[in-house]
Amino acid sequence: MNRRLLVAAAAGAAFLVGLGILATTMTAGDSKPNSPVPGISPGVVHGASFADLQGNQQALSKWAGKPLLINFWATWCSPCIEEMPRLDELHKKSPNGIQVIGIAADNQANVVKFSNRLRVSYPILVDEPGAMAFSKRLGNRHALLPFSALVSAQGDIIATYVGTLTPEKIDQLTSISR
Amino acid sequence: MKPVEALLAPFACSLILALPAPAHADAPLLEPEAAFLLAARAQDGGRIEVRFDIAPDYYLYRNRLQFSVNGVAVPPAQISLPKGKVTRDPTFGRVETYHQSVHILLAKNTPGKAGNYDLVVSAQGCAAKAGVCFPAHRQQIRMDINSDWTVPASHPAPATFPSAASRFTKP
Repeated sequence: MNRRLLVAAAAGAAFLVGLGILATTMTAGDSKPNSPVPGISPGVVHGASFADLQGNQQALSKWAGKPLLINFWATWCSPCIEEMPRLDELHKKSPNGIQVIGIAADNQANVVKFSNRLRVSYPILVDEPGAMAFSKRLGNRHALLPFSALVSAQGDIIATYVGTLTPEKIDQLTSISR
Repeated sequence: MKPVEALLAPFACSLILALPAPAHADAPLLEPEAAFLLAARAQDGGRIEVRFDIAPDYYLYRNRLQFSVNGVAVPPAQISLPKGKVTRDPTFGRVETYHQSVHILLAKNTPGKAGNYDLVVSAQGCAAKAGVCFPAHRQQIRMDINSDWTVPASHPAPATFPSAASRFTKP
């Protein structure tokens, strides 16, 4: 009987510790599963548009109906470039139908010149003054790069991440989008 | 599986799934003004010396530094930038960065009005272990000629890095 009580107590403790760690991880804020950014209506993402590398405006609504991983980056940002091959792999595998979109907080000429060396298959959009402002609206409070936002097919922001996306974090994000 | 083990299994899974990220990824970040402590002093003839004290594990990009004095951009030819740490990246090519500290000289003919200087410095850098970069941040220093080292008016702590209370964490 005592042994059963001990096991039950251990199980309860394990559960509480698990919850505690999960809460700590989430409140650290780098990834916020299932917690849409307050005050952001679904129309914000799908209502935005940015220039592509040819200078043509592309509305994000063209990808409505798919979960999006919007990645903000810049050509001068080493950690941003470091994660791009992983994002490209994610885009090609497209788990859960995820579409990756890169938005450069940089000038058009820099990005066009740089894109020849990047060789990523996902769309790259550019808006030097507007990209950072838009990322702030999506939850990038301190305007840091890289910044990624996972957006549901309906346009809700379901997770955000500041910093280089490791394979583990990408797995975490893709599991959230299920 | 015994009933007790079956009871424990989901909790064990919850622990595995909830493992926190590596410590460095979640480390608190310094604000850029604190990570890159700026000071400057003006000398006779309009020569301005600029100094950055850079926090450990942070770095500044050499080619992203810009200066203006009394509203006039200082041309690159009048900026004496020391050599930095050179790395060669297959994508970036040659990248030069400053770590720990850097002293920069602005040329003698930097414009000044009656010995007063209004210096604006724009810099960009990153936190290496956290894997994040700061957007261009501008700091302003007002100083007189032959002044001692002067820091921005909004400087968080002139001589030392700020306390943990003034740091911020990732959103």
